[in-house]
Amino acid sequence: MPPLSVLMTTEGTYPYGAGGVSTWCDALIRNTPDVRYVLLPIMMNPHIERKFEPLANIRRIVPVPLWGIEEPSEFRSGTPFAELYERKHATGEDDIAAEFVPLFRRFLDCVSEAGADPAAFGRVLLEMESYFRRRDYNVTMKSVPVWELFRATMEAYSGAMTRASALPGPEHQLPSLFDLTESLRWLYRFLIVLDVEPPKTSVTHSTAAAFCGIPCITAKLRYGTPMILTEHGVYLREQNLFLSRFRRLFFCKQFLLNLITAVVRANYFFADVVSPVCHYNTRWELAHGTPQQKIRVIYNGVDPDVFAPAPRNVSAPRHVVATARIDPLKDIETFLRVAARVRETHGDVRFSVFGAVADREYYERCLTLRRELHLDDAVAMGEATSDIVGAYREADVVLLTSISEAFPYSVIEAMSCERAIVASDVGGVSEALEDCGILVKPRDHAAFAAAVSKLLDDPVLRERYAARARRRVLEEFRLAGSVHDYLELYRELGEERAVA
Amino acid sequence: MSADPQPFAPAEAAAAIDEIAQRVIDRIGVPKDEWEVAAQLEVLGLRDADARLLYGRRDLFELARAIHSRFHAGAYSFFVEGEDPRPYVHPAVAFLRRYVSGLLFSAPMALQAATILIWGYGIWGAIDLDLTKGSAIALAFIASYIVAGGFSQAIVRRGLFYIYQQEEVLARWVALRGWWVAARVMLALIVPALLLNALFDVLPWSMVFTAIAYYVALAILWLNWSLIYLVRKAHLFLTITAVALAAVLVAAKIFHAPPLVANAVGLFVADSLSFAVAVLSLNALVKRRGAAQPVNPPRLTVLVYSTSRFFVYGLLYNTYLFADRVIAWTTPVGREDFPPYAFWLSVRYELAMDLALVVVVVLSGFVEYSIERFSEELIPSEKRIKSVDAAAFLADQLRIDRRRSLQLGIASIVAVAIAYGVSVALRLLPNPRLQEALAAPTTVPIFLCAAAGYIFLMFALRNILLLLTLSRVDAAVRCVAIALLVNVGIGFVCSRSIHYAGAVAGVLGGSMVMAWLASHAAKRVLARLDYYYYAAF
Repeated sequence: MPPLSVLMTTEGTYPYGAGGVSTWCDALIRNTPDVRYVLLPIMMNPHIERKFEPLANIRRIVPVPLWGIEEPSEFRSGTPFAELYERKHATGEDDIAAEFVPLFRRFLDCVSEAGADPAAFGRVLLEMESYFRRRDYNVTMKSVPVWELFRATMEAYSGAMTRASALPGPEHQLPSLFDLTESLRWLYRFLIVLDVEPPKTSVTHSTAAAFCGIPCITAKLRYGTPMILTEHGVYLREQNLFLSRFRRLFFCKQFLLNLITAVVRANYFFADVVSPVCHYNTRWELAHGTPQQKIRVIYNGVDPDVFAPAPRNVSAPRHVVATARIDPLKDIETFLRVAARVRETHGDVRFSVFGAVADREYYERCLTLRRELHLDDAVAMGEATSDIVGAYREADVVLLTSISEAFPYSVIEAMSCERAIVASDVGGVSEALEDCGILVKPRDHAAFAAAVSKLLDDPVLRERYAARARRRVLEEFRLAGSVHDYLELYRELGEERAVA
Repeated sequence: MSADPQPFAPAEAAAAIDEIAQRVIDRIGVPKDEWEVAAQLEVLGLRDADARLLYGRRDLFELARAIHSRFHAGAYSFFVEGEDPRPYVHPAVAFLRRYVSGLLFSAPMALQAATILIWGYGIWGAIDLDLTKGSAIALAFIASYIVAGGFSQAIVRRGLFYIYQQEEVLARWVALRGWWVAARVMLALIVPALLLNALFDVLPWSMVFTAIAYYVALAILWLNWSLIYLVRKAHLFLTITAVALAAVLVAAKIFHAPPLVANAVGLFVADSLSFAVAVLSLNALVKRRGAAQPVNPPRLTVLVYSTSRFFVYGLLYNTYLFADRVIAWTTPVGREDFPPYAFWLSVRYELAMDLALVVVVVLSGFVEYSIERFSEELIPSEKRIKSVDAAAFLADQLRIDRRRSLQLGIASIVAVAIAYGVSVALRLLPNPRLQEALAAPTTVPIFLCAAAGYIFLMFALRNILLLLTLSRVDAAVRCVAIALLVNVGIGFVCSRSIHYAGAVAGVLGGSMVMAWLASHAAKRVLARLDYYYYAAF
């Protein structure tokens, strides 16, 4: 039987970005050597260095940069230049008006309804992808008919919204010319993924319910290829949080969230299996219409031989460690406040945050807070470590203060290294930790400090939690188990579709 | 072990909902829907257990729906900040800043001209050079400027694109690669020139080699200028020119070097200094990023294709600027000096054209102001106007454009007056060759025709820069290409049938056509500015 082939799609992660999703992708691909992968990474720009060494069973990478390019054809390596040139000159305004405008109108109608009919949305995405196989993307999306249709549709939509509700009022709901320009420019970027021809494989596997899922949706509609969707975080929630910053641009926020919701719902609808990394994620999936029977939770796993326990150097000062990037969602400010409280009674304790700076402005805020709390000598932060196992082994207590998580690797890695853990009760953390550590309400630095102090003062309790945590990882969260579950899923869905 | 909250009494739940709701609204302004509210509740640290026990709702989603519903019932106040206030700058100050910035481009030429007139030497050229050498230098200047024009536009266009993307490593890569490709192409063009001369004996070899030497030095200078412009240090053009001129004067006046040697010193200083400034500035840009090599640069074929239209525009525009000289100096019709070779400089013609260039210098600041104001005001204007009121916005843009044209017209009269004043002032200089050229019967007609032509050119340039600002490079290329054909056509016919100086009629005719075409194209763009601004980037 020909080997299984998988089209794996990512967005802002593997193999060009670090983080939990990338770690997961690398581990899965590395540990399924008989499966052939085609990677389709959606990237923010094309000039990023690969963070992961190429693996032998990755047969092809089809990068899709959304920004950092003047037009998509700059990075279309498989298509000869002559063909690109011909396609440009074969795309006239009449062709756009006759062939693309009706599709785009249906597309915008779906977006305005936030993807209430995901089947219809999927079909129009397929037709748009087929259109872009014949016509030039840049010429089409930058054309007068597209702009005029977009403007008319959005004016009609926002007019209807102002009539439907008195709040927030036309001042915020009716788009300015700038709103329309920005919104259509964003759309131009996000729909670049339609300018790619996804290859035919046994199975497709999207690592987010996001734009990277679109090639999987169109492959399903075009070839009948089964689709798996793994949600590490909840993309829709993350985008809601990100776009909440658009305080002054309500129309843009509304348009983008409608678009993203439509894409997310289409992902849920077309996936044959939705495999979130924790039960917590299923809340958003179920709330957006995913049938329960489609959902199969597959927890992340770690290699217990790599994340193995080792005795701590008892002569070293007591040490509380977090492995988290410096990012508002990791709530390093609460970590700092916890450190300040703990050191009131435990002045010898060191605190460290091992993780790169993801948000420079937030990092500056944390540095200011550290200074104000007189913790400059007590708390080290802002640098990643190449020896993450060593970082856990240094710790007496591992502390996670995130305000948003799915199923964090940092928790199960620390558990595997047999460390006592205090973690915020968010996302799937409680599913990982259960009674093997202490869960605390997020942002409650008094409760965090009390829990950390308790563990620092009671080595027997610490060891009990730590041993329980290690046992739980060996029983429930081994990497081999996680990989086995995905491989079984590939075989189940792809057996009949193995492609030579 | 987990931490569950203690329940509030049901009567307090409604007040608690309003309290948490107002916190959410204060964070985000206007919620789009309940999902946005739910996401905010989660990052405020709430869980489904809290929704049940504290707020009497089944889960966070139900709580979010309740909050969103009450928001639409007007239960919560919301505030959305306006745009950050722009710092007030007095209109006269704003105008002067932009005007001076625009003058920076022509200031080096003006300084060079002044130095030649006062001390007799420039970086290229000297007042007492014989006409053979003068013609060679003129040929080299024109050839290098035309060939470099295309490369300069392509390098700057692509380099600025990467700088705006915060890809400074790529900006440096494309700038230096472009420079190197351009230098090789420009040098390679010497070979066919030599072959042409060998086959047809166009010019004496001494003149050819002099021209080649100046061509190479000037080509490098123009390419360096484009790198300096890319890193936004155009204010250093004047400084570098001044230093190079000082080197020329030291060589000539103190060390009594012959004019060609003094020029060579000046060009060497200008080339070295400008290259050093460019490379150091590019390296400083990259240092912030911490990387040395670009990652995954674009396909060469697509890179060349995407910059090719800008290359063509630069090539055509620079050709336009000097087409009349080439036409005028390659015919003996009406010449007083019986040109011995196929290409022969006419000092009278050049002087008259240089006087007319004063109009360009004076108006360039105004054009710069006009384009900068357009760019600065565009986004704030688009933010203020609702799309349903776009017609008023577009009408306003056309009205502003007409006002700028009127202002440019008034400024043109002033510019001509200044140019005339310069010519009167020049009559006070005790240089016989200069006075003879000023007094020649062709000088004033050439000056007046060229001045009028340059006024039309500045009108055209204002609109062409508008088109380029909005990435309408095809329209800009069309305007310049057609105008060039008209320039060459009229200039060739007049110079061959009437008088060599009739070449200047091509400048007038071509510029009038360019002004008309560019104005038409710009008005078309302004009438649909909403679309063209979207499509520009």
